[in-house]
Amino acid sequence: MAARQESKNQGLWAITVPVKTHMAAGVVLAAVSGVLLIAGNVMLAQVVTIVAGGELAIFGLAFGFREAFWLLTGLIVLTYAIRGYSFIISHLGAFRLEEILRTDLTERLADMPLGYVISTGTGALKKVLLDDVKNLHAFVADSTPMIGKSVATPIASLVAMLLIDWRLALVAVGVLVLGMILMYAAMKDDATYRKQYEQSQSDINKAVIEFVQAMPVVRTFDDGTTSFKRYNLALERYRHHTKAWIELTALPGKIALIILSPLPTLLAVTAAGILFVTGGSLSLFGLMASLMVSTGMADTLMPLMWFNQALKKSNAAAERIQEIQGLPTLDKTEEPQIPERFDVTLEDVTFRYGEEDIYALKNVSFHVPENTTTALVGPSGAGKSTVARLIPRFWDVTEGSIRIGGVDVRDMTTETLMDTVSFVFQDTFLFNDTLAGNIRIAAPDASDEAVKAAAKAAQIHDFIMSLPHGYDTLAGDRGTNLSGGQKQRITIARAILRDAPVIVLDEATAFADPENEDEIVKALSNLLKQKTVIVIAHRLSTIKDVGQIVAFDHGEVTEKGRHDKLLALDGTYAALWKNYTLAQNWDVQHSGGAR
Amino acid sequence: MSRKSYTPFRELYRLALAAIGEKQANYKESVRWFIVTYIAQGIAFGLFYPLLKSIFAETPDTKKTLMLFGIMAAVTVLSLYAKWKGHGFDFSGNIVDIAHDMRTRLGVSLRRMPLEKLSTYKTGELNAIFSNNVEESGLTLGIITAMIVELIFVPLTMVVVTLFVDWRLALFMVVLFPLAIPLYDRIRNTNVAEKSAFNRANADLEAGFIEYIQGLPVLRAANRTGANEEKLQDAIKKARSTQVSGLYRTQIPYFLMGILIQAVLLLLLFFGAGFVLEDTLTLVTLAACITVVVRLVEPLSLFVAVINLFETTDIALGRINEVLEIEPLAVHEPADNSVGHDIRFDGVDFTYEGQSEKTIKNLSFHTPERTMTAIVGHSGCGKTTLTKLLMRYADVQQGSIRIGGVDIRYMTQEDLMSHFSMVFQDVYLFDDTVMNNIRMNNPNATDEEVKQAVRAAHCHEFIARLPEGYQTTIGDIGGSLSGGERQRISIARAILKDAPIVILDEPTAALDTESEVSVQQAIDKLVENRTVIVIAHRLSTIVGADRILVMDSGEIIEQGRHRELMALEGKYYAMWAAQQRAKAWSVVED
Repeated sequence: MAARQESKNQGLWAITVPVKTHMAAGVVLAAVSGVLLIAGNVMLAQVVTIVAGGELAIFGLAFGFREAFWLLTGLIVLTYAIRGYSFIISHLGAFRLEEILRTDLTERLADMPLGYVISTGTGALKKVLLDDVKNLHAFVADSTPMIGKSVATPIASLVAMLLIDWRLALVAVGVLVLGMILMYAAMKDDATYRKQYEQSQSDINKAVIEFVQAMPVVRTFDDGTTSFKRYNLALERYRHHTKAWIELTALPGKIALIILSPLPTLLAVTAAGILFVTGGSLSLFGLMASLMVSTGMADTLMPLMWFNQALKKSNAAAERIQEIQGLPTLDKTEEPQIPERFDVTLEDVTFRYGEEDIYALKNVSFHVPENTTTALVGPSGAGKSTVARLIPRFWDVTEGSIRIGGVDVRDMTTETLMDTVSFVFQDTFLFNDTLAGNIRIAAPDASDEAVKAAAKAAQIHDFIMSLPHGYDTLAGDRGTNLSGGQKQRITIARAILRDAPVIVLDEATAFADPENEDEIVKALSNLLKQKTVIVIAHRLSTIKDVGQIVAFDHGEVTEKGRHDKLLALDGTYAALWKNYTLAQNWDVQHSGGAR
Repeated sequence: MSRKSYTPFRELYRLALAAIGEKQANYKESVRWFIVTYIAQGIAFGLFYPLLKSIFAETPDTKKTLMLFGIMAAVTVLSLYAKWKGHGFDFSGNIVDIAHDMRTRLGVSLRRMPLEKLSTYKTGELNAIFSNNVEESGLTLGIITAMIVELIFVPLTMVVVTLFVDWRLALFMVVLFPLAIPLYDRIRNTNVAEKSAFNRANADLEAGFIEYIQGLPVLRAANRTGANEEKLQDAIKKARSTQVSGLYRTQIPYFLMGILIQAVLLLLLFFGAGFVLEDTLTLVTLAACITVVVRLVEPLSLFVAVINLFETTDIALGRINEVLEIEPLAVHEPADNSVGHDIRFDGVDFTYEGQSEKTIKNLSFHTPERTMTAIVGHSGCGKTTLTKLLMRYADVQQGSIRIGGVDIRYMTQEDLMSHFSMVFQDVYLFDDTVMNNIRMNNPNATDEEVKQAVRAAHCHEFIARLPEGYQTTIGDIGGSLSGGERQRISIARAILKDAPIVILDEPTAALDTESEVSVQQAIDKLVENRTVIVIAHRLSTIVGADRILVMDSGEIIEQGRHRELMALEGKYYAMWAAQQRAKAWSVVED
C-alpha cells in the first residue's frame, strides 16, 4: 500500500472548491442587493421631496414624480429579486456539493482497504456521508448571502451618509464607536473560564450519550440510580460553568444589544439634525435620508456572530470528510493477472496496522495446497484473524507476499480477487432485495435453477419455500425478519453460487448464533467441497482431522502440522486444546441445596 | 384560507411554556418587558410626526422642538431600559436552568419509563432529544421571543399613532396586512411539506448508505461499487433534486413576504403624494410616515429568515414532551415485601406492543428458592421475553408473576431490582475506574469486600496487570480489555451486589475458548446458594439444572431434569442430538 501524497489543501475552503462559483456568486449578489437596498432608501427619500413638484436628477437625466416612482418600484423589485437569487444560487451550490461529495466518498470507499471500512464501522461512515456532508450546508448555503450582506450594507450605508451629510455620518459613526468602547471595556475574557465552559460543553454531550446509551443495559442490573447520579453530576457541572461564563459575558452582550438597536443612533442623528436644520444647513431630504440609512452600519455585527457558529460546525464536518478523502486506496495493478491454480502461499508476511509500532504479524510463512484445508489457531490477538483478512486484501501486507496460484494478490484486479477468494461470514448482510436477488448477487447471470440449487445446498430452500412469497420475499430492513441462522444460510447459498475456489471461513462468526447449528454444519460441508479452505478455528474438535494446523502466538507462527503431532509438541496448540476440553465439559455448578 | 399543517403560533407558545417549567414566571416577566420595549419604541418612532413638523415649521418653535425631543429621549431610555431588563432573562442563565431542568426531567422519565417503551427508541434518537432538541428549544426562546414581540408591537403602536395623525395613512399601512396572513400560512405549510419530503429522501439515503457500506464486500465482488451502484447514486441524486424543487417552491412566498413591506412604502408614497397635491396632507407628515415605516424593513426580513426555526422548535418541543409524557409502570398499592425468593409464573400471557401474536401463552411454572432452572428453545421461542417480564420489562396482559409470594407489580422498581443479579452477553462498563465499576451496585462496600468479589470472579490477575490497578479508568484502556475480562468485571459486580436471584443469559456465547474457562469458573462462584435462571443454547452447560423448561412458540412444551427429558425422546432429545452431531463435525477435506 503506497502512502498517497498528503493532501495539502485542507479545511472548508478546499472542500468547497467544486462550488466556488456558486459561492462567489452568492456573496456578490447578496452584496449587490445590500447596496441596492440602501440606494433604494436614499431614492425613496428623494422621491418624497418631489411629490409636490420638482424633478429628480439621476445620471444627468431628469425624472418627474411619476417616472421616479416607477423607477423606484423597479429598483425595489430588482433588489429583492437579486437577494432571492443570491439565496437560491448559494443553496443550489450547497446541494450540488452534497451530491459531488457523496458520489466521491462512495467511490473512495470502494477503492479503500476493506479493513478500514470494517474497522471504522457502518455507523461512523454513514455519519460522515449523511450528516457531515449535510453540515456543510450552514457554510455554503446560509452564510454566503449573509457575508455579502454584512460586508456591503455597512459600507454602502457609510458612503451614502457621507454623500448625504458628512456631519450626520460622523454622529452615527460616533454612536457606534462609543458603543464599541463600552462593550470592549465591559469585556472580560478569562481564558480559564472559557476553557472550562468549552470543556463542560463537550463533557455534557459525552454524559448524555453515556446515560442514554447505557440505560437499556443499566436498567437490567440496577434501577438507574448510579448512572442517574453520574448524569446529574455532569449536568450540574455544565450548569455551573455555563452560568459562570454567561455572568462574565452578560454585560458586554447586553451592551451590544442596546447599541445594535436602532434607537440610540436615531436619537443622536435627530439631535444633530435639529441643530443643523435650525442653523439652516440641512434639508428635509438630508435628515430623512440620514435617518433611514444611519442604522445600516450597526447591522454588520449580529450576522457575523452567526457566521462564526456556522463556520465552527461546518469546519468540524469538513475535517472528517477530508480525513476519509485523504486515506490511501489500495494500489491498482498495471498488469492484472488471473491465477490458474488455487494453492495459497504466504511468504515472510509482516504486517502492522497503519504506522503502529507493534507488528501484528512477523515473518509468517505457510503453504496451503490446492483443495486442502488449513486451520489457523491461537489465543485471541495472536494474529490468526489478521492473516485471514490479508488474503482477500482487507489490508495489504507491510512486507512479504501472499500468492494464490503463484499470483500475488496485489497483481489481481478487485473483481478477480473477489471471484477467487470468498470470505464467508464477513458479509452476512442482506440487501433490501428479494431473497433470490440476495443469493444471485454473487453471480448476476445465474439461472433460477442455479439459485435454487445453491439454496438447497445451503439448507435454506425449504425455509424459503415456506414463506408466502417464496424466493420473491423481500429481505433486509423493509422485508421479512430472518433469524441470524437463516441469514447465515442465505449467505452460504450466495457463496456456493459464487463458487470461489478459495474460501476463508471464520468459525467464530459461523456459530455465533447457536441455533440450527446442525443445518449450518450441513450447509458448510456443501460449501467447502473441493475447495482450498482456510479456517480460523475456535472449536478445536472441528479441525482435529485437517491436513494442516498453523498455530499462532504473538503474531508469529509457532507450530505447523497435524493435530497429533502438535499435541505431542506440548506447546501453544497443546495448551489451547487443554483449555478447550475444559470449557467443553463445563456445566453450571450449582450448589443450591434444595434438590 | 388554506389548510394549516403547521402548529399554530399560540400552540407553540403553550408548548414552550410547558417546557419552560419552573421558570414560567420569569419568562412571562421578560415577555412583559419586551412588550414595554417595543411599545415605547413604536411611540419613539411615532414622535417623528410632531418632531419633524415642528423642526420644519414655517415659524420654528424651538421650545416645542426641544420638548418633543426631550420626550423622545425619555421614551428611548425607557425602551432601552425595558430591553435591558427583558434580556436579563437569557443573560442571567435562565435558559441554562431551563435546559438543565428539561434534561433532569428527561433523565427521570428515561429511568422510570417501561423498558418496552425504552426499546422503541433508537439510541441516536434519544441522544438527539437529550442534547440537540433541548438546545434548539432554548435557542429559540432566546432569539425568537424578542423578535416576535417586536414584530407585533412596533407596527401596532405605529399604526395607532398614525391613526391620530392621519387616518388615511394608517389605512394604507394596514391595507396589505391581510395579504401577509395567507403568505405566512403558505410559508409555514410549504416548510412543513418540504421538511417531510426532505426527511423521506434523507431516510432513503441513510438506508442506502448503510446497505452500501455493509454490503461493500459483496458489492465489490459483483463490481457494483461507486458509480456502478445505481440505486445508491439515484438516492443521492434524489436527495439533491428534492431539495432543489423544495427551494424553488419556498422561495416565492419568501420573496413576496419580503417585498410586502416595500409595497406598503410604495403605496404610502403613491397615495400620500396625491394627498399632498390636493393639500390634505403636509409633505413633512408624509416624510415622517415613510421614515418610520422604513424601520420595519429590517426586523421583517430577519423574521422571514427565522420562520423555519418555528418548525425546528415545534419538532424539538414535541419530541421532548413525548418522552416526558411517558408514564412509568404503576406500582400497585399496598406495596408489599416479599418473603423468600421463589419465582412463580401463573397463567402468564404477553403480547409485545404493536404485535398481534402472543409471545408468551398461558405460561406457568414455579422455581423454588435456591434451585437452578434452565430455559431452552429455538430463538424466538420466548425465553428471553420470560426473563424480561421477570424484571418487569412490561406488564403481562394475563396472569401474574410472583417473587417470594408477592406480585411484582406491587414492588417498587428499586425493591424489584434488588432481587436480581444478571450476567448477559453485553457488558456495559462506565467510563470510570475499575473500582467504581465493580462497586456500582453496592457503593458502600469496603475495599476488602470488593477485593473478595474480584478474586471470586477471577479478575484479580488482570486487574493487577492494569497500569493503575483498581484506579485505572476504563476509557483509558478502552479496547484493551478482552470480552472475557469485561464479562468477569460484570460478574464481580454481580457477586458484590449479592442478590438472591441470578439470571444468566448466554453469558459465554460470545467468548473465545481461553476466556471461557475463567468466566465459567467465575459464574460457578456467583451462582452458589442462589436461585438461578439460566438461558443456554449449548445444552451441555445445563445438564445439572434442577429443572429444564423447553419452550416453543411461547409455551412450555416439556419440563424436567436432563435425564427425564432425554427419556421422553421429544423436542429436548432432538435438540440434544442435533448439537452432538454439530459438535462432532469436522472440516476435513474429502
